[in-house]
Amino acid sequence: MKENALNYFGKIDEHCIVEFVDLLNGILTRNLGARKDLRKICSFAIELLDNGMRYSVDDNISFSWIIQNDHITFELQNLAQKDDAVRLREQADLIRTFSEEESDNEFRKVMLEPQFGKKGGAGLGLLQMLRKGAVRIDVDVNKSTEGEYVCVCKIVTPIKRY
Amino acid sequence: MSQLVIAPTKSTPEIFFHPAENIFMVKGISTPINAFEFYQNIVAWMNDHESAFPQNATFVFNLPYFNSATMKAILILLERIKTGIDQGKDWTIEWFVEDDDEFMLEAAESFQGILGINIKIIS
Repeated sequence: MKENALNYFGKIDEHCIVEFVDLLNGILTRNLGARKDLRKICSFAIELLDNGMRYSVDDNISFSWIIQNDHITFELQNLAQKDDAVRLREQADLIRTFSEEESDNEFRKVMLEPQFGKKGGAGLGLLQMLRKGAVRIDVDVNKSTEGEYVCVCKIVTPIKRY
Repeated sequence: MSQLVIAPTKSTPEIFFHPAENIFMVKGISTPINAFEFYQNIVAWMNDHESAFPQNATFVFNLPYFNSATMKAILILLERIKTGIDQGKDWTIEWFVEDDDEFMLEAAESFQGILGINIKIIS
């Protein structure tokens, strides 16, 4: 696997997410060839960027990926309201303790809950990344100003060898 | 005959529900911030026009990428289709999977597992 990386800082919206995913898909296809897990890898970027789009208080994010050896690392940083940042960290802390069966049960439970989050999210992003094979899900939050926190979410997932 | 036509955008799929032609299609990328609203509008349209749907309607989903909010919203749409099936309609659901893609296939399997419905995989 050839190494490569991307760093982005700037505005994020739902169209921008599609641009990133197209770019990542193109890079992965060029490096790995056509294979059946490319969209799954790209879905990690979708979920992270989706979080950034929903919870960034100023619509700005820092987003990066690094493809190195047999892993891809995604990192998203954004300024978020305290409640959103703390909830994301607590969710990451919780799902890291899940067995495979527990993560499947939680997925089913959240899918069947009729309500969505206040900002339109499903509350499934981190859980889906865990279920799709992420080996590391870290969320770090630090107070920036009163009521606003810097939220850093780092996801590592292996790239399988076929 | 009424039909529901929503043109695709960069982040929302094409919706083409045409009862007279027996075409019920959701096709394209789906990463909207308001996924619930987008798909709830389709469910509402179904509720208003179900009487015009053919007994053997086929609902076709071709979604190469989507966010998890879309996944949850599509579940609501599939639940609505399941209600029709449970009421005696001979409706079928087709789910496109390109090149044995794991993302698309696992989504279909998740929906089947949660709802207990048969989804025909089209590759």
